[in-house]
Amino acid sequence: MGPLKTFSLFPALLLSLLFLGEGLLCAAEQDPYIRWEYKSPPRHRNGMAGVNLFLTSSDGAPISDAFWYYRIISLENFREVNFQLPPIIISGYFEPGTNELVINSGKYILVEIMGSAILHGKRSYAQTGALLFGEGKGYQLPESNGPEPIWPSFMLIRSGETYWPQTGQSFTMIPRPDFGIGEFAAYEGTGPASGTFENGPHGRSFIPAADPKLNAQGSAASKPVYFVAPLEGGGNLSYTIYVHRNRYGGENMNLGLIIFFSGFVVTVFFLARVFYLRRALRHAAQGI
Amino acid sequence: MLLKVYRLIVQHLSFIILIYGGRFGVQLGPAVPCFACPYVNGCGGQCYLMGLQGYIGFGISLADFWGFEGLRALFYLAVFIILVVLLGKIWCGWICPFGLFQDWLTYLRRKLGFSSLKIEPETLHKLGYVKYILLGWLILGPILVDLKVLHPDFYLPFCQMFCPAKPILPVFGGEFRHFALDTTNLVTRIVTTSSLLVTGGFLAAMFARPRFFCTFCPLLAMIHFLEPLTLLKLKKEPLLCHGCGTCQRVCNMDVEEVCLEKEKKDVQVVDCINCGDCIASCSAKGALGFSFAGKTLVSSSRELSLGLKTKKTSA
Repeated sequence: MGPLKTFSLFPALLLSLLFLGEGLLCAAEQDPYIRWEYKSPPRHRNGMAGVNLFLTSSDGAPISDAFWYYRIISLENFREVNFQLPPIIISGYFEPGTNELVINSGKYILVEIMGSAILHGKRSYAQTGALLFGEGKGYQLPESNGPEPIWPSFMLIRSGETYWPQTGQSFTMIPRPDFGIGEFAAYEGTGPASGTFENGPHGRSFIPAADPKLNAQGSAASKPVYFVAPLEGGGNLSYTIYVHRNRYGGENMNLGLIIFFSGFVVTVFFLARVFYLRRALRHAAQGI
Repeated sequence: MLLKVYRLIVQHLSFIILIYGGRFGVQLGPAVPCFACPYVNGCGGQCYLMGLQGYIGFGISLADFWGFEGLRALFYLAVFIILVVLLGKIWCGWICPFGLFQDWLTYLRRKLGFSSLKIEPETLHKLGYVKYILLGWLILGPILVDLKVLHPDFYLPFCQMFCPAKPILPVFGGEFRHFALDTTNLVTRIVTTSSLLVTGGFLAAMFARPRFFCTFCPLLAMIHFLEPLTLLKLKKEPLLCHGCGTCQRVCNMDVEEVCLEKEKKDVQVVDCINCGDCIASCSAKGALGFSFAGKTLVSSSRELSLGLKTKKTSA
């Protein structure tokens, strides 16, 4: 069982709810790192879903010698397929000049994307994952075109079973062993991400705090959070996650029940009044 | 009586399939013409109204409509039309899980000894127009969201704001969270407040009057638009009718046209949900019945109204 398959299993997600530990505010210093950034996905009229990514640096410095690969897990039949350069992909391309990666899929897939480049003379790594809800017909997932490259990476465990990653959810980043990956920090924009760190049985996790700006927008709005860890011997590893607002965080059951019963009681009184009036009028007509 | 027993069996089987079917691998898709609420965890089918507001209907942006998404929307529209053409309002009277829930409330009220709320036919007729307003809202709402006139949290505007099935039916799947007020932002507050007030109000009214929500149901209006195409209809033989008025008295929807009609055979009116209570109660042989593609499936008789099996069926 590959690590990504483990990532997809619900029990692992549920176990991550059992974390214990104390919360600490994120206040780490930010070293430059490379990261995957998303832009609006391309529109497809044939049922394909796509994602456009850019490999960039956090400080805007140029990167060089960029490589990438991605790995696909087909969610339809739970089949794992590995890819590396040169890609045999359903539809997609990588522009070395612009460091833009486009992946399109006609199937419902989970894709894990890895990138590597030299930043300030040190080789760094970037990782992210995306769900592509492709629904086109006639697309076949190709077989793996080689073994997975051995790069430093995280395995992500997300608490809960929500549709999207969201604020208030814990993200446990488990470093794959043998790469000397240090303790991770979380960044947002140009500074530290607001939220809390916890230590649990699976390792260190981060819970992004509720964001009023995100809450004011629709549930589809999201913001990037970058998880960054230093590597032994220089460079670092980042993991980009786009978090949405917390779907259940704003729910208030007590207030809701008060409103529900208010509606119920007002209607009961209204109906009782209608009954009473009707009976009174009937009695009046009969001279009772 | 016999017809009522059959109906009860079909209603409860449908409820089990549509509410719990997903847990057993049954999935009838997103074009089911009744309140098979997708908010229920593990539901076995999804109400077409939700899809119509969302990804197989008016939730698709105009730019995306001319492609795969548009084709998919047309496909599910065709499925919906075929299902309605085949069974008509049997979906409402015999299959709808929320209809059964209302029937349970009516049963409870009768057991507790409360009489039913009577509404004047004129008032009822006027209230019936609300279903067209709701239908307009569930079409217009997603378009306004797409045009950025409305906040994105107004997506699925009928389900989120007015449908009482959304908080109630998930309870049967063990989920109560739709009774919570969503305080995320002002729009979610407005939307959930509306939903909870409407649900509370309808729960009381559905207890007081049988099938009260059906008078306001936009799906009933949609099915009625397809009435000329439907194969299954309520038929009347005016010459065989005694004019006793039993059909009107037993009608949960207070439909009076069936009783009053003296000429036409087609008595399928907008508020009739094809429950068949009128057929089951009518003692005039052949006066009322269900027909499928012009062929009589079941018709009224003294034996049927008394719950007796006919010689033919008992043999």
